[in-house]
Amino acid sequence: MFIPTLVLWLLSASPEAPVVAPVPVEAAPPVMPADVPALKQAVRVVLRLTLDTGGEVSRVEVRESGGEPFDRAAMAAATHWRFEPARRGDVPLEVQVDVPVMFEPPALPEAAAVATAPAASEEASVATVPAAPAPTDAKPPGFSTTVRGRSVAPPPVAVGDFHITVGQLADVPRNSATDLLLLAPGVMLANHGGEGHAETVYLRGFDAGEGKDVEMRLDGVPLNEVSHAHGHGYADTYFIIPELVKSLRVTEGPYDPSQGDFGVAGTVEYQLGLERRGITASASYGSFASRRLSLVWGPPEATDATFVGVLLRQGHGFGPNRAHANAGIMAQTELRLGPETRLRLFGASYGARYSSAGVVRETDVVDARLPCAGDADSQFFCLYDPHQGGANQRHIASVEWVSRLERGGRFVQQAYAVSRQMRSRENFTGFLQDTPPVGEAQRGDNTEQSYQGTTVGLRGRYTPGLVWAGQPQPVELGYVARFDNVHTRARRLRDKGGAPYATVFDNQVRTTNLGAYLSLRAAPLPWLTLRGGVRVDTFLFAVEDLNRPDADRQGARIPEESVEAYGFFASPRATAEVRLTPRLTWLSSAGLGARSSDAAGLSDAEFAPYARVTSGETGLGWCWGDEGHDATVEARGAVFATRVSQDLVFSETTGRNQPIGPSQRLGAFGNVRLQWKQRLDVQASLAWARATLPVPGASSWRLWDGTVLPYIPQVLGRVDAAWRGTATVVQQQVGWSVALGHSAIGPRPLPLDRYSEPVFLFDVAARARWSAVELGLSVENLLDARWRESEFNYVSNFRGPEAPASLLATRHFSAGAPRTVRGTLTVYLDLQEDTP
Amino acid sequence: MTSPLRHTRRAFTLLLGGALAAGVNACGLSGTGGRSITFRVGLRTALAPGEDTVGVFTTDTGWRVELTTARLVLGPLYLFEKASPLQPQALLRRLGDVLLPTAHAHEGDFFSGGRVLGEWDREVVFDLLADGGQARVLGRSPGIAGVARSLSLLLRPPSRALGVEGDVMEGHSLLLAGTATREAVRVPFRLALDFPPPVELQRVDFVPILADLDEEGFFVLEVQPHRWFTGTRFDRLPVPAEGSPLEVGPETQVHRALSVNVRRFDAFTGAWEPQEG
Repeated sequence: MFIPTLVLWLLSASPEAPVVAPVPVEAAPPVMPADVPALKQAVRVVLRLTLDTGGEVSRVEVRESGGEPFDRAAMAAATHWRFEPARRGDVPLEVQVDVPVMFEPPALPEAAAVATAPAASEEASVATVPAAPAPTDAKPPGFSTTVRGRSVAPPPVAVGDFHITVGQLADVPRNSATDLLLLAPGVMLANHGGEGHAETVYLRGFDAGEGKDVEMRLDGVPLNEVSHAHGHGYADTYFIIPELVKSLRVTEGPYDPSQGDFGVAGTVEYQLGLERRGITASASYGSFASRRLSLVWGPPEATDATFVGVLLRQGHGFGPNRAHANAGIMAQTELRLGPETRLRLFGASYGARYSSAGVVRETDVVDARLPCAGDADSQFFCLYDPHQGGANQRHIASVEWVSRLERGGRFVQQAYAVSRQMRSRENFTGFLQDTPPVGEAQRGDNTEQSYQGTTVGLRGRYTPGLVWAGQPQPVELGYVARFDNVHTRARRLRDKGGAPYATVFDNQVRTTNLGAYLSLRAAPLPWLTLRGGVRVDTFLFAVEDLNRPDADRQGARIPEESVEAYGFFASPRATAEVRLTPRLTWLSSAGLGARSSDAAGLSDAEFAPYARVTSGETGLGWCWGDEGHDATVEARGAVFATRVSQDLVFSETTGRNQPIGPSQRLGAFGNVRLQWKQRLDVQASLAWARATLPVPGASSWRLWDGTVLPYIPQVLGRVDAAWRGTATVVQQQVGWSVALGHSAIGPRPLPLDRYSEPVFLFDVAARARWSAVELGLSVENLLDARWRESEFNYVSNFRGPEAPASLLATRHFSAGAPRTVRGTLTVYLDLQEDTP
Repeated sequence: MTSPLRHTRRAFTLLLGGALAAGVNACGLSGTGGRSITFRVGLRTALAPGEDTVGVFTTDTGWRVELTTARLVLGPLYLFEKASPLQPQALLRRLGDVLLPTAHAHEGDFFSGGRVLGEWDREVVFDLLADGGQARVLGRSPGIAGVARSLSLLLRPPSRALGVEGDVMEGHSLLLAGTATREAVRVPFRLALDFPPPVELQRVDFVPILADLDEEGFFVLEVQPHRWFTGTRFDRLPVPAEGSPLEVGPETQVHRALSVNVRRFDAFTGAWEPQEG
């Protein structure tokens, strides 16, 4: 990169100098400061470096300021630079050099670039250009460095901490914003409840359910719902409009002190933004009468943080009882309150209704006993209970205040409110759970789970503009305060008529979560950076159990009862980053995390137990960019181990997760992403994990031993690739793109020492754009594979209320979607680019 | 219909799957525990001790019974891993249990036999006299390899699921007809038993067995009609008119005895025949 350039230039620029100039040996590029406004013009900082006789930077001064944050970013980089010292003859000298550092706006897309190209990459790129030598004592030449781009993500806290810019990979077919999670290695998604029901996330060897083990956030607003009727931590991201997702931060493992409740397998944060300004309207129609209409807009005069999005989806579904319809709006405005302060106002509303086919018994499918046509396909997509489905409503409001402090620090405050309502009906066991009144038959196991309530909260972080031991901003303080007031209930519904006949549980839950964290960073050696911190969380649970008996041994009583519990947990986390070479970094991380208790399982005055997760990871990160930064490659790989003190697995009898005791995981992953000229973007990942129930009494280090947890895929592979280009058709320039998404799900462990068949899914898409009009075609599940999206093993009886029940656990599954073809017409108005 | 595309897809999947599975499956088993099997399930009528004809036996009260009709609605049948609490135990252990009783946590069910290792999950009308003591194979059933130590089955009125097969039962759970003879007294009889819900009154629990279930074996449920008639007092029945069978009603001792005995743990037994070779 720029070091060889610099060396050559230094050598050529000072052939006659009496002093041999210092030669940079390590000079990592400065990083664009976070949270600065999008640059409209270049910012220049000139640093004066004092280089001692050992070639170390002993002093850094700002000769010419470009503004506090840019000064600090430049200084932070310069303190790590190392040189071959200047020499007169063989005698090393202490010298001073002036180094201009340029911060430039993002490079504009090439004129010939396809019109649908995204804005400039988020990744900082660095270029070097010669600059005039600065006069100093030894009169050595200087050098300059330029940082082009926007604010880049903070450095990863672990190898498994991914800041994923969606960018060009948005061309790969995806059904929803949830599918963007597949951009992180080791993620598999499954849905047993229908289009509108949250996806089950498999990550890092965890069956994270619909969110019990994955902390989900949307620009700081928590999405996990405490004590949800369907499962503690239920997080539905289906409402997020994919066109508005700018990037994802997926932190696999609990290694960042800012990770909170549910961050057991990791944390996912959706970061919103609309890079393409103007109006984009898109309409799709495809298989199974699926229709999709989206409209997003953002004024070109505003930043990408100001946008509005509307999304309508509807369809009959890929089999009986799979119809769905939903609508959502998301809007955000960023107000600038002076040069150093901005205010973001965000709101979202969403409503959805869906039907669900639920699960079917494998034996019934094989024997063609389901109430559909006898052919294999009809049986595969058939169902038992047509009364399954649900409805969702969600409303979010958020205000975020960001101040840039005088000395380069930041002060962020956010307040949010979430209103939520959900009702879901699922039948996993048919006619098995009911104890009918004498003389009556089983009434059916259809379970209605309802959840409604509000969440309000505050969160913030403070990064003082400190420089300590040469480290700018080495400290961050953060806090969360969250209050949930929810009503969560499960009832059994009669098979005939659907009237509720029994209450499984009925709780009014009020939970207060207060948490705070402190993180520190230090670089005791030029090649070593240490990060660490501690997080403290407290929970107060107040539960009104509304489903108590109305009489006991002592007589009549009020059928309600109150339960209160309190819990506290402290979780230290630390990372060591060793820079082996300028491109290769070795990261090792360890941390403790926690999942709060499900309020439904608490006892009065209990010190609420937590599920504790202990995790460690070590691995390498490598990045490369060519001279002109037309191409960049980033690769990562790591091994990890995790132990959870109290895990949960799905229970078919209650239709939600139930405790099973401790579990452990051992795994590894690798990931590589190649980007070339905003034309080719390829990301591939491969992950392996083994999840077991530890042998009772065995050492915690025996991570391999124990019974394997079924259904959790051990090998996952994923490829996302998109290629954009231009062509001339009838003397008109036409932009085009093709994209491929491929998921490989290795054989999943099944009960009784079996493996499932592996699953290979291919999704492809192609688009062509002329002027403001674009046509697209996407095919999901190109090979029309018959695959099982989720799978279970338990006892059920779907033959009817009077039929003899099977008590032998057998396999049940929900069918995955077959080949789905969809055509899309998109119109771009008020474009930044008028030609493709 | 199987299209060429489907063949191509399958071949492709197998190719990729083979490569992916090779790494994972290197160790063979998934490690989740247990082993699934498939075995045959059948029914057989047991011969009474010392008899060589099905449906002919002498009761402990001295009556020689010869059945001419014996039909039963039976099923489902469950094979449990836990032993029957009624299973005879060693004298020393029984003594130990008396001296040092063990505390048992309530498992929530009337009888929790642990995991079900095998089952025949349908009902069937079984004619006890039709096969002359040979086993009638009902079909194949999935199961889990392991030792089953007790079984449980249901006796109930024929459901609609049986269709015309259940018509012969005329809505009853058990039909018996025959002749009971002692010395010069001959009592032709007909009898019908009904086992309506609740299920607790339909269940035959605690039947001790010892079946090491494994692939392709044969489990035979043996019905022991000679035990059903233990303690029956045909002499207490009114003397029937010459030639016509006596309808044995629920108010009679014979009916009550049969009603209890048919649901006793020793009214049935089971046998396991491993796959030959």
